[in-house]
Amino acid sequence: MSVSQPEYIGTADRQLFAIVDGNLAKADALLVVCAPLLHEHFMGYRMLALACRRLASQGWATLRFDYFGSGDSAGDDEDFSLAGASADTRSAIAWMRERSRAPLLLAGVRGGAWPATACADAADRLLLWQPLASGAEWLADLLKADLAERSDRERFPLLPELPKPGEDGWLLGSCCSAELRNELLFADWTEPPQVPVDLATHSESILVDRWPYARQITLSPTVAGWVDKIDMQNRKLFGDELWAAVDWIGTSFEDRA
Amino acid sequence: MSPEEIVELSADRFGILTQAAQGLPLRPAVVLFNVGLVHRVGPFRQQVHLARRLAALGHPVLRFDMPGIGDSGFSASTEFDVISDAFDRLDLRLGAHGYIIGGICAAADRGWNISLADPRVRGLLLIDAIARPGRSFRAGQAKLFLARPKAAWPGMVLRRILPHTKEPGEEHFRDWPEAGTEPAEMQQILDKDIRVLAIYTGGIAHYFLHSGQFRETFGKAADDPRVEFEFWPDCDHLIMSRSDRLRLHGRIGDWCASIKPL
Repeated sequence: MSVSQPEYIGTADRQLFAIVDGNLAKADALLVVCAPLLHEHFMGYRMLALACRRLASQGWATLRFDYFGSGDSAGDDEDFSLAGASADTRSAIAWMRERSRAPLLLAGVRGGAWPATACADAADRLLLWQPLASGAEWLADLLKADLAERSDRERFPLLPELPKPGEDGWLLGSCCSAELRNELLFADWTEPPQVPVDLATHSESILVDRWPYARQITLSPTVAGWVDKIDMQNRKLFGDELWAAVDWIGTSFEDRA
Repeated sequence: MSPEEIVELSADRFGILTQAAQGLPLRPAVVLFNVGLVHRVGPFRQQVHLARRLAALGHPVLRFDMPGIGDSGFSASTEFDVISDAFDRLDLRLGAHGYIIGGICAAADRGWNISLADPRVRGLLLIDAIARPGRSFRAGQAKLFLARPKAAWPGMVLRRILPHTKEPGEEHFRDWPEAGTEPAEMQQILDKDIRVLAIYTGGIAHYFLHSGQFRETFGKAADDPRVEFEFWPDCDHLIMSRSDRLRLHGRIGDWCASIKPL
């Protein structure tokens, strides 16, 4: 098992926290991961850490990073935007390219698929992991889920009246600024990327039909279910089904060769 | 410029140290433990927010992942060894001025155990920590039952009567002392002159429903002026609401300011 190496990348006024797994100097292939957005960032963190470590044990070097205004990176929550996430992704790719000439797979998980797709031209291959159907649809889902959580008698058993009042600019506990909402409304999949694409989806993803040429794997409900419960009660995730999906990612550049 | 930096810990672990604002009086360092299975940033990034707030008040704050969580691998080391090592490294880096530790849920349990074992702890932050059901809990159950619409009563009764599912329960995720030992252990903590802030939210109604439970759990040690207890029934366990988090972090900041360095 490789050792995770923490780094700060980016610039002095846009410092990004990042984790490298694997040996960059000897890597056969590189992976840069665009993390999921908002509350899904912390929900998916351990899964992505384990996935990267497994790939590192197979000769990859991987980079996970937190967007500006998220996770351990600098910036306030209000600073996070999709445009900023794309700029951060380009910084992360450049950081890896400066240290290795190995082919680079750029992965976007859930909402991270948007910054990843926006930066696909800087990568050799693109992987979209459970990409969302559209930003507008996801925003509508978030609004619905936020109301459901604020109305949940299990979450607020002692509040006399439900729902608990919502807070302007915040959804499901995370900041969703007016700028970000506006960006999400226009986040879609109109232009297919100009690099080979891998899709790791559950069966309902619209991209499976839209991009039939993509290499595809269907994730089991267990693996895809990490996103279902905000209290992270899905503890059956990290088993053989996840390793099978990660090992499939590990063959990305074998297929190309 | 970010006030955060990466610090190396034992066994290939690392932590994020939020540096205290300069020019303020010396204050104890704060070490925030993982909230359940969430990595060091905490649910909704709240450990980052809290760390920055406390650092602005003069407290250096360390956040790191315990073995098996976030970026940490599994380890044969005990939790005590992992945390004690973090204290040792901060002592060298910042000077030995004592520690304020704890957090939400499992972080509170961890803080409790370390407070009993390590002499460097000055403050113990307990949010949704241990509590035992007793007369007050049953009174809380009755009050909750009566507050619900009558249409909900049959369902509530059925949930009490029917066998529970095999889903893991509180006992699987918590590290609580043997029932009945809590008063003596709280007294041990007070004998070390550790200050305690205990806040219970409404989100743990399955084991805490009434402010009287605090004294029933901890006995007369609960009355010690060094122990501050509050019940926040309008909050959930993860503190999902931003306004609740701001209120909580403000309360913690005020409390931390009352703790003197070693």
